[in-house]
Amino acid sequence: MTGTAAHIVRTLLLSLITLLGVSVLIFLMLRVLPGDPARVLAGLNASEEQVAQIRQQLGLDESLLSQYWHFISGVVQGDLGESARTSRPASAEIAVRLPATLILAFVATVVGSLVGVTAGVLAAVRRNTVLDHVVSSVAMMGVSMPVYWLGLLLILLFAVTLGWLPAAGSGQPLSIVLPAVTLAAFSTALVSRMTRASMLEVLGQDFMRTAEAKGAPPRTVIIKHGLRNAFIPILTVISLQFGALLGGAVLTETVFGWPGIGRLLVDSIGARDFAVVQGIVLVYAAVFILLNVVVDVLYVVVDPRIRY
Amino acid sequence: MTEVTETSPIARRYALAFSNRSVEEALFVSSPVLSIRGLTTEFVTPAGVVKAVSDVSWDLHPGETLGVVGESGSGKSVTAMSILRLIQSPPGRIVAGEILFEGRDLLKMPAKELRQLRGSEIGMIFQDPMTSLNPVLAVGQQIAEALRLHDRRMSRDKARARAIELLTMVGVPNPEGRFDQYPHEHSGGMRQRAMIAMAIANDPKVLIADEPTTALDVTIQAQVLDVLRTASERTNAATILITHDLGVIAEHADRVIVMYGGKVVEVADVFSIFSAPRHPYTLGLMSSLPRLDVDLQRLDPIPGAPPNPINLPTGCSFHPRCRVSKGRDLCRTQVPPLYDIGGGQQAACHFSEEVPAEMAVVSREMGARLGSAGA
Ligand SMILES: Nc1ncnc2c1ncn2[C@@H]1O[C@H](COP(=O)(O)OP(=O)(O)OP(=O)(O)O)[C@@H](O)[C@H]1O
Ligand code: SF4
Ligand SMILES: [Mg+2]
Repeated sequence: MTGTAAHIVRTLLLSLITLLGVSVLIFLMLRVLPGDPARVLAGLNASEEQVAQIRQQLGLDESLLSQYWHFISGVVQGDLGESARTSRPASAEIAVRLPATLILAFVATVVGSLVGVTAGVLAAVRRNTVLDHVVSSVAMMGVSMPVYWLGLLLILLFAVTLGWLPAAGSGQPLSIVLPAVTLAAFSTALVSRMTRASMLEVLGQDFMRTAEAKGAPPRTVIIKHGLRNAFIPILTVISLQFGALLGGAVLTETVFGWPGIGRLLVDSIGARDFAVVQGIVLVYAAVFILLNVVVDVLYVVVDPRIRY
Repeated sequence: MTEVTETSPIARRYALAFSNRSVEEALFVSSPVLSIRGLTTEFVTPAGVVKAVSDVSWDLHPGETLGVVGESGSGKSVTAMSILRLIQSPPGRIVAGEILFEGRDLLKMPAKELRQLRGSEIGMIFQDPMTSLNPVLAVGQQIAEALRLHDRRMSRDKARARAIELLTMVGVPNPEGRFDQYPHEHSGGMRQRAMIAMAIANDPKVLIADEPTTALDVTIQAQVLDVLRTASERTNAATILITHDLGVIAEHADRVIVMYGGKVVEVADVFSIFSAPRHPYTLGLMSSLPRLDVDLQRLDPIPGAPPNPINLPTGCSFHPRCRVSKGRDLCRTQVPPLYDIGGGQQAACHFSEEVPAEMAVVSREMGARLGSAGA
């Protein structure tokens, strides 16, 4: 375990360099992309003088190097700068929206993992039966169906026709159901396919026969001995999916009017709100790094042969 | 007579050897703990139906060690796995037969009842201890699991204490520390000792060991076999010992089953198997025994290839390789039944009475070759 602790410290230290790299990249990308934030803010009818003035206020007339220096020295002190649109601190704008996205991605991941692993295990144990084929077909649909289409279908059925669930917003406790299900569809499909493949590999192994020879009931053999051994690749897919859900919730948040960070990102890019975009990207990068550390630790817990 | 069965298997073997009692008589005293009757197991493969085991019958008596020998693919493992219904289906299926454990047919038993016997009344040790232990569970936990599966009320602490006792019994040093280690942290020999501990955890009446030392380093094979012997003696389990190694048979088995092409071709006590085999295949096996006094690995391996299990030769499936047959029609057309020879010995050969004479010929040939090799 000491090896694992050292590994985590090393990963976190290295991640500082990663974060620095990300900050440079997003900083440059925003400034290379066409579109002048001062012009966007000033509006269509503004004169050149007004635009220049706004540019000066935003500090955009300085050299790239000194702009970056302002940005990064602020970040180190926990200051992401000011939103050009609202004039409020970018960190405040992000902090308001981040929890909604985290909750949505978390619920979708939990749902997707539980359903996906269960379906995958059943499909593997009953391979080449009707059940297996049904799981495969549904998984195929889950992987190939566009998110907004599935989202609209669900709204039509459960909100409009049946009236069981709210269609949009986040006001009620049940509001999360439809966006979470929509978001979970893809990961459920992916997780179930990975689980099936990984379980099939494990089912034929000698230690499964040993467990049976001991007198263990099928459930114990399959879950305690089988699934545990099949879990590393499944865990990898789940963690990648969680990351993808964080970043990929934009469409779902839009369809369901979910007040998350994905929509804030899209809006901020449209408005060339540099401070907010930079802040969101840095937050994403930090979350991904933490996620990787957590998964590294889980690997060791699941498989004692893994050592760092 | 009773005196013979009450002693340990080794003592009994000597008693058998030096008394005038026949093995048949000695074994008659106790009824078998396990009886296989007409067992037939097949595998459906794309190339055809593999007749892995056909019409195999034998008895296992309390306290004895029954050796099972035969070339690779002769059906030893499939027989062993059929006993506990561990054959994967598909592709495998047990087509016919009975497996009677204390009079109850394991093949007709509901799955739940069979589970209660697996690991408690009948323990099993597999060939490769690396792949047969679960790599992500601590070794001690796997032994404790075997205990708790059959005694729901046993506490975790009690199971741990008992597992440590078992690890001590099979000669694992530092058992408390070893309990929490994972299979990859153990050597091959230690892993197989743990497998033995697991198999005997519930004092089984029958212990099946399928080539328990084949995957191990030669230097520790003997140690592990001794552990196995001690363990089965202590629990008084009847043991089925599957092996390629005739030396192991000579040292550990009381009686021997010889298999060829999925069938039993000879049954005899261990002395008769070596000194008076009555099946030409057994004779071939014996003359392939390496001799310690000569620097030759194999003196007379049986010429020809093992039979194709999808398309076994007609009649006696050994006939293409048999030196006794001499091309006689009977061998090619009629399947020889397992004839009773007397003294508990059985052989599936139409001309088993010719085997002793052939043995003399083989001995002379061997002597001649030994002479030239020594020169
Ligand atoms: N899962 C399977 N699918 C197809 N054929 C099989 C399967 N398992 C065993 N067989 C076949 O059954 C026959 C008997 O195999 P078995 O494993 O019992 O041999 P064995 O005597 O134990 O040999 P070895 O000494 O190599 O362990 C072989 O021809 C083998 O190819
Ligand atoms: S029956 Fe014929 S072929 Fe078969 S072992 Fe006897 S002599 Fe050989
Ligand atoms: Mg085998």
